[in-house]
Amino acid sequence: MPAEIILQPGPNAASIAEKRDRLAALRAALAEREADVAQLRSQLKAFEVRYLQRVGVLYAELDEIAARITEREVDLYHSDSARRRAKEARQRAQQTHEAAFGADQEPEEFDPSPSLKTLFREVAKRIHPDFATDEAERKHFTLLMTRANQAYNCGDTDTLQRLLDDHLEVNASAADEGDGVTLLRLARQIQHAVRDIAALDREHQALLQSEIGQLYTGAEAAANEDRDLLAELAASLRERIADAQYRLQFVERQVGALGR
Amino acid sequence: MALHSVRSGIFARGRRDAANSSSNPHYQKAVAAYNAGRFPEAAASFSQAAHQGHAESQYILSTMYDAGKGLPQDDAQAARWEHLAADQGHLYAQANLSFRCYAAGDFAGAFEWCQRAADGELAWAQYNLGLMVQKGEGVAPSEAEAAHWYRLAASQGFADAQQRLADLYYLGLGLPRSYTQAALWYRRAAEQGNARAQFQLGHLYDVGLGIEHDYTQYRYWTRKAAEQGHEEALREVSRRDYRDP
Repeated sequence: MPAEIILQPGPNAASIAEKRDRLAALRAALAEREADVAQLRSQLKAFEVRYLQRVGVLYAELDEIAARITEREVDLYHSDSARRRAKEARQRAQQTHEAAFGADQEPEEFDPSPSLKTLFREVAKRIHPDFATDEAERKHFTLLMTRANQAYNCGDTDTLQRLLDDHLEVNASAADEGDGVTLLRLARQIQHAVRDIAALDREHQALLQSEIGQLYTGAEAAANEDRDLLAELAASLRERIADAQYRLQFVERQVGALGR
Repeated sequence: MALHSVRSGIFARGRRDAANSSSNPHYQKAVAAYNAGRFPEAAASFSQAAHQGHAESQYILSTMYDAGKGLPQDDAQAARWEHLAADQGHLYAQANLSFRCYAAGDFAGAFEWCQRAADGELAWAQYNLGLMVQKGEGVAPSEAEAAHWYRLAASQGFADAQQRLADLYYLGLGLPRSYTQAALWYRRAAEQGNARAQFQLGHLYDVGLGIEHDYTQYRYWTRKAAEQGHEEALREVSRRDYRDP
């Protein structure tokens, strides 16, 4: 009589299935959040470039004229306040210039330290999408790999170390795949996903609350009223520049009259 | 990362300027109501814009609280909105706040806010800063520094500052004495109706200091000062009328 082997579902099977579903849902949410934040980041980056090109350069021009005015006033007055004003105005003009035109500078050469390289290799060989056992895991590994690449490129050791720790924690006792171990493993993965979602939410908030984020929100709100916030800012700055130019000419005439 | 911190300043500036643009709808509504004499309505709209961080509205709201115009007079509220507008770099709010500090005997605060308004090219503040520096209120007294601030205000056509600058030239305080410069600045102030400058200019014409002696000009400017009740000018005119009718 042939013995029929019936695989009885273990007592933990329902719990495992439920956890797997929850993990899948969380990872889907995580991927979406990651995409949202990446999109916001690139929108802000593009807005930043537009802002600097249309408005930032005008601030630089305005501050440059203001600095020249105060410097001519030093020629005129020889007072400590005048010198202090001139020094402050020149510093401010330099800062504004760097802020407005700094983007043109060559990015610093990327030279990762040997320890960063080693750490990255340790992470990559564990989470590379090619090593995934199924489609869901492959998707998740792709996401992790993207994050690891980003961290590597900006020398972010903390993030790389965390990715490695997460992986080691999840696979701590993967050798013996009992139900208990599977459950523990799932619980950890869920915990990591929840933590990462929260971190992304915080990043999203921080991006929106940054100065450029608030400016971006304002520009979007204005666009809904058919207004161009950057154009308005630029127009009022051009008026202020014209005003400053007039004052500069006035001071230069005074200096000329004194023959200095 | 360092670059980013440099940039956040330029972003903050844009955000502040954008928030303070005259296209703020509450502000526009408030101005329309104010110009039509509907002050309670104007105050309500200025208040809405002020809560959004609109500096000009904060400043106007503070003056309305000060005057009890459109809402009950309230010094605390006036001071609060004035301070918020001043923090955002609103020059008139800074000047008013400086005056508020001064009236309360807080010279250091008065000096600091006055300096910020003066750095923003507000002639009134530059003149008042000159006065405080000359008297040594909130700062060590210095006639040379006072001359610097007077001159900034004077160059903007502020008559009292022109007269003060001329005084310093006349007396040689903080500046090398120059009757020519004194006459030049006294004339600018005198033409704007400053009584002391008119009297002093008349005196310079009388004695021919820094300027060619001219009896007609002397009489003209002394009489102008006397007409405004300048005491020395009045004495001078009555003495002259007796001697030289």
